[in-house]
Amino acid sequence: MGEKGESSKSAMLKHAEEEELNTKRLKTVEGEESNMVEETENIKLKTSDEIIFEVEPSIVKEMVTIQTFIEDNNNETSIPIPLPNVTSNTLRRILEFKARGFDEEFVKTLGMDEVFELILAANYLNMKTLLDILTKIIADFIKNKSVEFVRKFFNIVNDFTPEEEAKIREENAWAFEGFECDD
Amino acid sequence: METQDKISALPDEVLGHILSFLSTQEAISTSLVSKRWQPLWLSIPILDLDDITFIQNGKSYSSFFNFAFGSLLARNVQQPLKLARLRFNSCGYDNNFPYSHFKIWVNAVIQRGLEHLQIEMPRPFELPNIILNCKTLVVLKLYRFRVNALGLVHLPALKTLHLDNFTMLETWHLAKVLHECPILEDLRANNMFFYNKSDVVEFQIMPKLVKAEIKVNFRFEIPLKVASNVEYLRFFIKPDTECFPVFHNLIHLEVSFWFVVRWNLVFEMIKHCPKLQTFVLFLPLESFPPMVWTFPQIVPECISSKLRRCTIMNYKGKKYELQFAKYILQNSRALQSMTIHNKRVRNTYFANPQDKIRILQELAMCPKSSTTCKILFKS
Repeated sequence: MGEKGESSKSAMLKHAEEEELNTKRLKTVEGEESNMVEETENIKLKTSDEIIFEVEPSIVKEMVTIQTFIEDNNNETSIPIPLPNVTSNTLRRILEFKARGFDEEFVKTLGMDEVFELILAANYLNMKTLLDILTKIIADFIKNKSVEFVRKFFNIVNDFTPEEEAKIREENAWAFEGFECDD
Repeated sequence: METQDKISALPDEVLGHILSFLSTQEAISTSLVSKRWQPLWLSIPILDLDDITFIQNGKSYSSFFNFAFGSLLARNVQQPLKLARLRFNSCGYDNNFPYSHFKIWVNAVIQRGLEHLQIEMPRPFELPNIILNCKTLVVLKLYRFRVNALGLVHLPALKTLHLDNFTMLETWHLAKVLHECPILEDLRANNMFFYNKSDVVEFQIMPKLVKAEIKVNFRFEIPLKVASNVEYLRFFIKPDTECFPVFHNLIHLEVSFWFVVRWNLVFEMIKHCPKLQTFVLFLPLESFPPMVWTFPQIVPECISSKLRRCTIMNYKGKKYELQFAKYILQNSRALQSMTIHNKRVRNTYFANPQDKIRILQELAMCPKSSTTCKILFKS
């Protein structure tokens, strides 16, 4: 992975790719030998800031948006595929995250802004595993927290008037009965 | 620092995705955050209800059911529900569980195209029939129910069925349910009890089953042939087992014994798993006098050439346990790891640390057939 690959890098990448595939197979048939020859052709992706990345096909398979695009275009992979909504920094982070086996602890070291960029990119690229992990991390910030805490934490402006807010509480009283209203 | 509200700028489906990890109660409370957030919880196709906060705040079941019905009925009836999780804690103090309300709620939820249903009851109640007659269900996980009478069963889309602490009047009830799940891939029958063993019970092979976990009251059994196609199997071996089917696809096997390890049955079972790669043995927690056993001279083919991982749970360092570990180490050419779990329950199984070291040494010094094998200890 990385910019502008060479043939020796391709061989290394293929090895790394096979290692990844092997660890992924834990859930299904453990270590069954595959007789198929793996595609070594890396796929070129061009980010919004015009940088071209060469990415292994196994990683691109997780980017359902791109994978679908490739399949719809007769598997034409010689031209770089444009990603107008993804910057090079974001794509680099995604590849880094993937290389670390989607380690959640790594995400927690990133700033909130960057996490949101990753979420938007994962959503655009339709990367289910990545999106699940990132959205769950955000959900954990909201879990068991008061409404006021959530507003402060995410810098959300409360645009309800006190009357509007009271009305919602009253109409949904059945929902708020389960716990003490703490704000 | 940044004062921008980036989260509200995320598209609806992403915010919905975030909220889908919260319980329904928490998701509804986010409707107070701002106007942007107000309608979001209604679009999540998930209901995740837990009565614990109601119990902790001294509320009754009827209060909880107000909430359960409100969460359901506030939504657009056309909008499908994908997942419903309903959890009643067993410490619910109110003995007046409104079973009829519960049944109505389940009925309403199932009819919204439900794909995933998970219910945990406070005490065993009769399973509403409609749950077993739903053409959209893909995942069904039920905890603490009983079945006295079986109605129409039709689960054409079901791939996962987990029954825990489940009682059925007759063994044929279960056979019938399994028969009506033609594409089932994952079966768990854990702590299942039956009252009557039916004379004529037709349990059939489940062709699509990939994973099975079976623990049934030891007076009854589910014939192993049901799971003969699986890749993963965990079960209790009954001491009176006479024969095993061949498990052509089995790669991962976990076996337990009720009281005493029957080593003959362990080997018999392993011999019927030609592709076995991972083997886990759960030794009984209590120590009973072991049966006398001589390990086979002719090593089963899968032990010598296919086995990669072996784990022994509740290891106490007893004679046959150690012999088994050594037997595997000495004969498994493809072995990558031998893991010994010494479970500490109140007092450690080992009399003193010296014992533990001695056992570690014995295993470490044992000749190994596989050059890449690692020995791991966990307590």
